[in-house]
Amino acid sequence: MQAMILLPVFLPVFLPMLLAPFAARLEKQRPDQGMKLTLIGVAITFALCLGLFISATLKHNVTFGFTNLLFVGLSFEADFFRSIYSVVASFMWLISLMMVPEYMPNKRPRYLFFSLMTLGATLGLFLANDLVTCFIFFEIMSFTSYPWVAQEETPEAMRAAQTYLAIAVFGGMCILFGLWLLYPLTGGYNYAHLKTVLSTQTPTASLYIASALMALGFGAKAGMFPVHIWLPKAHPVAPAPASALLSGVLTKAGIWGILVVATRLLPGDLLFSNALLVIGTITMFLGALLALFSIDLKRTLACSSMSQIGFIIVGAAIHSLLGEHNAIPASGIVLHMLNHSLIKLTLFLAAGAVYMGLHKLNLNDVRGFGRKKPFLHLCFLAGAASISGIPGFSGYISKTLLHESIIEYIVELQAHGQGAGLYQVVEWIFTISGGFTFAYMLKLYICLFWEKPSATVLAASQARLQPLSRIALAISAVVLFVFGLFPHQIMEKAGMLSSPFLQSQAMHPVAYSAFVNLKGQFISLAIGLLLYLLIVQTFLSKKEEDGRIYLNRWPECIDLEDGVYRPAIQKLAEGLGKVAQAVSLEKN
Amino acid sequence: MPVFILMFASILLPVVLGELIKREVVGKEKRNQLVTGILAVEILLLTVLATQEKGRMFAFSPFKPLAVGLAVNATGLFFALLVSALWLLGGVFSFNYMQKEENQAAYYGAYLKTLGALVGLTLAQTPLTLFLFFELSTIFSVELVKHKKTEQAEKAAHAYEKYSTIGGALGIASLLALYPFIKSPYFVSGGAITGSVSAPVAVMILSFLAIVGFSAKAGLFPLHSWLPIAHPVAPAPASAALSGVITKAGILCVIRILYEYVGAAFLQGTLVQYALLSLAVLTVFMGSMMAFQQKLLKKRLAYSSVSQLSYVLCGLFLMNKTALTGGLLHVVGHALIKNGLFLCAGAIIYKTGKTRVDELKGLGQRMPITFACMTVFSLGLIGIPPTIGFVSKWLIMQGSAKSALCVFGWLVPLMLIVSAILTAAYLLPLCTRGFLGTAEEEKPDRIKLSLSQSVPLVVLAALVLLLGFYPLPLTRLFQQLSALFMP
Repeated sequence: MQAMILLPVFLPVFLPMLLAPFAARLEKQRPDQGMKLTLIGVAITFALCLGLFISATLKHNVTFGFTNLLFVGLSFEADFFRSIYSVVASFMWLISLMMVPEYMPNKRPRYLFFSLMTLGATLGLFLANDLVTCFIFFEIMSFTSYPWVAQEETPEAMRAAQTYLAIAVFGGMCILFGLWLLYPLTGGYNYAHLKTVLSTQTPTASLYIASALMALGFGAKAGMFPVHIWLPKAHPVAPAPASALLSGVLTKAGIWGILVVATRLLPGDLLFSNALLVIGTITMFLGALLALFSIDLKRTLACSSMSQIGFIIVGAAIHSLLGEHNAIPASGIVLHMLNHSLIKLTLFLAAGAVYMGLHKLNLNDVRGFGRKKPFLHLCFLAGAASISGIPGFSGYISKTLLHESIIEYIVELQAHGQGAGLYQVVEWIFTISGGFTFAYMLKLYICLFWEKPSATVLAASQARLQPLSRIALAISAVVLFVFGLFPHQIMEKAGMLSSPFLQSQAMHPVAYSAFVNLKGQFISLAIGLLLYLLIVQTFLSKKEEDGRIYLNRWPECIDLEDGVYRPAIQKLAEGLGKVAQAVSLEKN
Repeated sequence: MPVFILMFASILLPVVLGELIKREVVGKEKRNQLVTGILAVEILLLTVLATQEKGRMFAFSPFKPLAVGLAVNATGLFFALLVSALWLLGGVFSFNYMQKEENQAAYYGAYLKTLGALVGLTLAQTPLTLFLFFELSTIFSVELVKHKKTEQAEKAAHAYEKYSTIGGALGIASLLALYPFIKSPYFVSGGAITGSVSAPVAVMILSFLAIVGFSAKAGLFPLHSWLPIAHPVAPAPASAALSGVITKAGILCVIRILYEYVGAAFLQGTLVQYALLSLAVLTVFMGSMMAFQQKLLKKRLAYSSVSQLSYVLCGLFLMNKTALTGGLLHVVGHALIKNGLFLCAGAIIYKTGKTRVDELKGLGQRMPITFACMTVFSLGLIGIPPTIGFVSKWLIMQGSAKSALCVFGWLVPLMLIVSAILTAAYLLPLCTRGFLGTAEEEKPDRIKLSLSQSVPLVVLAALVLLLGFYPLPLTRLFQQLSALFMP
């Protein structure tokens, strides 16, 4: 116990950052040595996070504050939720880095440098104990993860990276302005302080604007509609180990910010929660729709991430709406965040294995790659089944909890004699989006493992993964199985212990195998199966002699980025440019 | 007496030796050592000066309104040390850079003499002294602008002289006209107007005109037009000095007038404050937007200075301690960053001859140190933590929340945010395209910088990060200064 107190909470934040330049330099001079150093460093970071986690389970939260750094000061605290997320993040870094040696023969020093920097920044964000510290590490994370997206340096990667950077800058500035608006209301940014001060005030317009700006800024990283545009483009072009982290951890950093805003700034506020609910619902459905239409392996997974983020945002909104009895959504949010992180790790690493074999990601090019590859098959299946919410897998637990919370809110409203029309619609869309999840995962699964492979695929699929990549994939898949097998022992406990961060009480046990819960999920799965048979089989693909051809049916004109944002920004820049020229008195 | 001797020495040393160097009294081979020596001695002199008793004034006033006075005080010393330290880095950078230029003797002569004038400006304690050194710094630094002797350079130098003269004349005329109301020709912390004055409107108008006039050097609208013309035509290290440092002379003049002559207590909440803030906010926007549209790297940086200097002016014009602290911190931040950026531009021009922003693609792989430093500077200018730019912007924003200025309470922060986004838009693509996006086979060899070029760059970049990470020494100093200014 005493030893735990001595473990400084900021160490996992700064250790990787300090290590970054050395690892990159070493890798440049002696290839593979820097890689080893990085792995060791990340393993140590993981161990440190584990230490914080153990300490938190023993009900001793490690805290630390630097009052003068960056003038605003940095403060950290490792409670259960924060430390478990740090454990998950550093674990995912470790696993995904294990695939780097095989995946990335070139340009490795740069990748290692920015991976370590981003790890430190992400842990700083998760362990922060005040909103400014959270913002500072969020900004650092945004910029150090840019080179991940641009890593391949292809024109598409550069364009996606440009969008990523633009959204990151915009989001960061939104949060900064929000923080500025908040200061006069609270006089400080400590999480606990925010809650205490704001709970006694009636929300003012500037609190709403501040919260909306911050939710938008953090939401941009999470892939929330309408600032999701970078996500379906950036995740696929990044190298698979980075996509896994972008999808699995960095989106959660955005969610993290939204959760802080929802639970600390405007807890239980109707206007804010309902706005969040609507946006979450759109994100959830739009992501699922895009994923179903996509014919690119990693793009499907990226859009799926967007959709799952939508599920979590819906959960956050309901969590806020339910007020005091919000234990179930709290657990649902926590567990779905954890599950989604781990699932996407497995799935993106599996996609990485496909890419290493073929250097292609289009479904028509990778068709049948997984045939006679039982190991890859099993890993992918674990991820796919889990994210689709098939009973017995971890995803089922968290989805059931989120679904249950919507039902609970509807019941509560009806008990008070209020209409629950909006929430009923949300519940339907929730179920339908769950169906979409099943449908697009089925599409990927059948395409990869059951379709007839072409000659090139057959030739390429002889190659086997290197042991280290194999271990990485295996570990990530095993975790999914274990989590699913012991819902009460592991998952429920994790959800319950995390609830203080989300300002919730402990929840009553949920009977996951009860008929009501199973029924809800089976409806969802049935919808998914129908979608697959009726839409994917007919409209989105066609059967030909040498196998199934997947068609890109998404109308190209519907693209928020190219259709709306880029032209609008260009027009705005032109207009403002003319104004500035007039003001500048410059003679041409 | 040693204080006076030190003061005169620190002004005269660079001026006299600069003149000697210009006349090529010293051989070419010894020149670099001599310049380094002078700059180092200058820093030493100022450091010794810092240990001396403050406030002892050398004054000469046969006719009171036209009194001449020099003294050491905290504000002046801070500016003097900042200027001379950056001068040394820029000087070191010049040694290699200037090898490709002609007429080096004239360059180094003007470079040193400008430093003398600037140090004099920091010691000036009366309006007339301030004006004299203001004009002197223009006269000396114009040589740097016209160094290339092209028609464009001549034109730019002419514009610089014109605006500086108009600004200075407007400033000194207004200050002299203020004398009857203030009745003292000396600067005092907190300003001289404490109670009521006989004609407040006249005083307000005159203070406004004085501030606007001297702000010409800091590129405040409407006297900013010379800046984007003059800064880019000078040789890169001189552009760095002009944009990063000499512009701060304008800032110092504003501080002297606003906080040590008229006094913020008098101007707070008046129409003058609103008018000044409007000009500053307008300039922040205009500068960034114009920078965004420029295709020449150095011109882009010059317009960026127009915008960034008005961040500082916003901090000063908000007239509260927090914003003032932020403004002063941004003096340091912008000086380091803009110096660094112009030196980066210089390194690129020196090694490749490329001057347009669209020519920089892929260059970062060949010049990694230059571009890595440029990335740090860019992040600093946008205000991304943990750089010094973040802290100063944060303080200015916090300050504006504290001042009850209706619209400006939120307009200033909003404009800072908009400008930060524009800054990102005009600087970050240079860094990203520099490093990324060229095909493997197109990569030619590395270009190696000489130490005299890379060391100043790395030092500046390290300072931008370090002072951002641990700004306490600076913020503490500036909080003390602000407390003096606004008792």
